[in-house]
Amino acid sequence: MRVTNSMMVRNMLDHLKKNMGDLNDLNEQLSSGKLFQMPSDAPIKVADSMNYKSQLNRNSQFQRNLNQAENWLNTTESALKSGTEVMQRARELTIYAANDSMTTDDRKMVAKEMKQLRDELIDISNAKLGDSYIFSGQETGEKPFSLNADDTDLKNYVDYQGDKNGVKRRLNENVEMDVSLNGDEVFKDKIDKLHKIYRQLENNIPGEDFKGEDIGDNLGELGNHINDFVEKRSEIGGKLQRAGNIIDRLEANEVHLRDLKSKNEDADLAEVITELKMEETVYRASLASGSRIMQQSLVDFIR
Amino acid sequence: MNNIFSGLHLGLRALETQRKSLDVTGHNIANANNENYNKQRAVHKASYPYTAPGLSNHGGAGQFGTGVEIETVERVKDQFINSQIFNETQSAGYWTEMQRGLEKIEYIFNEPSDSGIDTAMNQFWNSLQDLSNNPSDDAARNMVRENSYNLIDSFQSVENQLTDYKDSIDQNLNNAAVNVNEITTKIADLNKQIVSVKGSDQSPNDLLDERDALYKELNSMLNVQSREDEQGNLIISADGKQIVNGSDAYELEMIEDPDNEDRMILGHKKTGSPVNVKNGKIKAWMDVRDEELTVNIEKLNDLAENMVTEFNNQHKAGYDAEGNQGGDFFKSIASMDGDQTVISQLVLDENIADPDGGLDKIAAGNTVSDGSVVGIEKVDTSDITAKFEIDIRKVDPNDDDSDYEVTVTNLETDAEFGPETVKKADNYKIGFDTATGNFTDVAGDIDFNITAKSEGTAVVNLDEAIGNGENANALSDIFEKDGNNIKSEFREIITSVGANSSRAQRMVNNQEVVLKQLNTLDRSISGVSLDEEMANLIKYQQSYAAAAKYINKTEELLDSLMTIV
Repeated sequence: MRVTNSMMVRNMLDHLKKNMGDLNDLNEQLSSGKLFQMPSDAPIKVADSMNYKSQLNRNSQFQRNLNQAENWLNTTESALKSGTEVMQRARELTIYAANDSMTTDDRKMVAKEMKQLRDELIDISNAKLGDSYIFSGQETGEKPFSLNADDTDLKNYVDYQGDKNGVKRRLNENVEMDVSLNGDEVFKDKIDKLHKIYRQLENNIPGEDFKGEDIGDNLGELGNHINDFVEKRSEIGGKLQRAGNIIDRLEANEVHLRDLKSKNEDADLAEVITELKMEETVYRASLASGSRIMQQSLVDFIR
Repeated sequence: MNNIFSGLHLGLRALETQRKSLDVTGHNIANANNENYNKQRAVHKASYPYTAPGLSNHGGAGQFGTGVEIETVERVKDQFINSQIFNETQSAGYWTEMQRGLEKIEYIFNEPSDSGIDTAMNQFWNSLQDLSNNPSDDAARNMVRENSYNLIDSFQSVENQLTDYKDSIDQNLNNAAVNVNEITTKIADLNKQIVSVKGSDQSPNDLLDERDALYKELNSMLNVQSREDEQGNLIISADGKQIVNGSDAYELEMIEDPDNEDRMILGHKKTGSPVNVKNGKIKAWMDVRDEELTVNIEKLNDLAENMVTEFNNQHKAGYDAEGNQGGDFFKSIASMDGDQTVISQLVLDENIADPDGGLDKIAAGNTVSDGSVVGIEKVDTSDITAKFEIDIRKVDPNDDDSDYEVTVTNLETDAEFGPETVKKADNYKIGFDTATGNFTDVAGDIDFNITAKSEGTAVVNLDEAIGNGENANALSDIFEKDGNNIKSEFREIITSVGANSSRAQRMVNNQEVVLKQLNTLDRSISGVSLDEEMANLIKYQQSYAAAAKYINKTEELLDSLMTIV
């Protein structure tokens, strides 16, 4: 084949251009740390990366949701703990006051403390997380209980204001947890009970005269209530345990996803640098050979 | 008769021929770097010999040569390779511009990045999840609204840029038509000159080079056909319409497409008929405009429409902070102007956008667990505390327009009512009375209306509470639920743009290789080799010197003759 000067120059330029292009690609990978910049660089990988990114985003949102749920559960748990203490104290007082050697005045003294315990339990039932009452079901804006104006009603001192719908949290793909206990089930009977004991201790309901054994009759139910608190606490404990497991799973999954995402889109620096070095050598070689070829022609040898 | 003086003539002709050949060599050397130049060659030919032997001639040795002359200055060119180059130039022009167009679209979508539509959807999703955690929190509601503005902005920004780009292509096409006209006018001028040079029996080599270069440029713009007539005119037509005929050029211009008045296409000014372009840069621009951009704008709008419809439907299934049934979140598709794109009209519903109380209108709570299955319209539900499970089945699973069967279960008492058929004729709507379990007609003594939407099961909880964030959850599912969702639809758009662009890149590379190979062949044949020219230079110089020597010797002969006198 006849080789002409313009052919050689053009070929050399083409090769230089190609080498430059390769160098540029590698340089972009090296400086950005990513295998691709645009969807066209690797359409499928880009879609995968977007998918991983949104999965990671979901993962971190679920972790936020979980933290929220844990806060809720922890607040519930500490309320139940305080509630248990209140009930235990009430039980002690009841045992103490059930003794027939107590005078009416003695009982009135005990009644004062019992009233405090009742109010404390109401305060505990008003526990809030942020702006939400946690024992009102989904009616988080409402205090769980309103007080009955007629405080001589021994059965029904408080009315439940919330609803019986659970507050649900999404904790993972397709995993929802009902984090709430409703006050009606947890506190209503107990507050009413404390109120009843308090009124019995005060003993100023017309037509009634409460004796030590009337007061002592409450002990059985008080025991049940304490057990109920303990049961509810263990239920919440179980939920906290489950939430903790889910967090562990989410965190493990996050590591896994980050790894996948990185494998999908991150440039292997060692590999890129090696390739860059190689391309650089090729580029230098083509420059060197080009400069030698272009310098020479027959002109140099004709005198 | 062949005499002593004819030797002088022979020498003179030799001198002239070598000198002219040196001129051609010089011309070649001068144009060594002219890409469009084709090597020229002086073709030497023995000049007409002195007499044929005959009776009138004196006997002796046969004919005597009379030296050399230049037959023609030849342009070294392979027409076959040349026509291949023209053809491939069309495809190269097409794919180069196609690739640029698609790359621009990729830049406009700006994915993957931290500022594109995808990220805006992620953020919106996050804010909906946060709302479901804190449905009573105004800050969470505000984030949902702010992020929805952000999402609308990112949709509109992408659409605007795509539309602007589309408009700029029309401008580009106008310029292209002007450019084509300039080229054809120049070719017509060259035709005129070439014909006159050829008429005087000379070879217009340099004019032909210029015309070939222009014709190649024309080929990169659009697909054209050409033939050369006997006089040397290059006659060019595009889609069967003449654009150059002899010394006349016929202009092209952008005209309205007779089939689609919104579209500008190339037209032939003289005949007024459209020119159907099939290749070249012009075709690429039109394809980017009519296919890539139009399709992507459409896809993006379909996506936005789906999002608005699904989101609004789910939003209406929920209830707001005041316990009222949700309205539209985005301005509804039905209230939009059908002549304009959905995205350009994308705004929040004015109730939601209202700075005064709009936040409370965001329906985070949910009466229905899955608004895509069933819609609930309350009539009188004041005395209902139970939850209901509603099951919807098609009467005929294979019929798209089939009626549905509705079964209602009271989750408190486990009492089951139905199945009852809801007819398409009633818009799939039926009333329900919880006390009696009667499905009455829509206007009867009923607690709520059930609208069947698709097969599935949903739980209905008629008691509204501020702490219910289930609708926010369901709203977020529109973007992320398993299987087909808005985000996966968007990813499909990005993948298809990327795949098209990647294909165009490969085609550009292929075309470059093909053209490079053809150009190498062409330059191999027609290019100037300096070595060769240097050799020729020496060759002609030596011949020139020899011829001069010959004249010198002839003169000496004459001198010897003269000394006799």
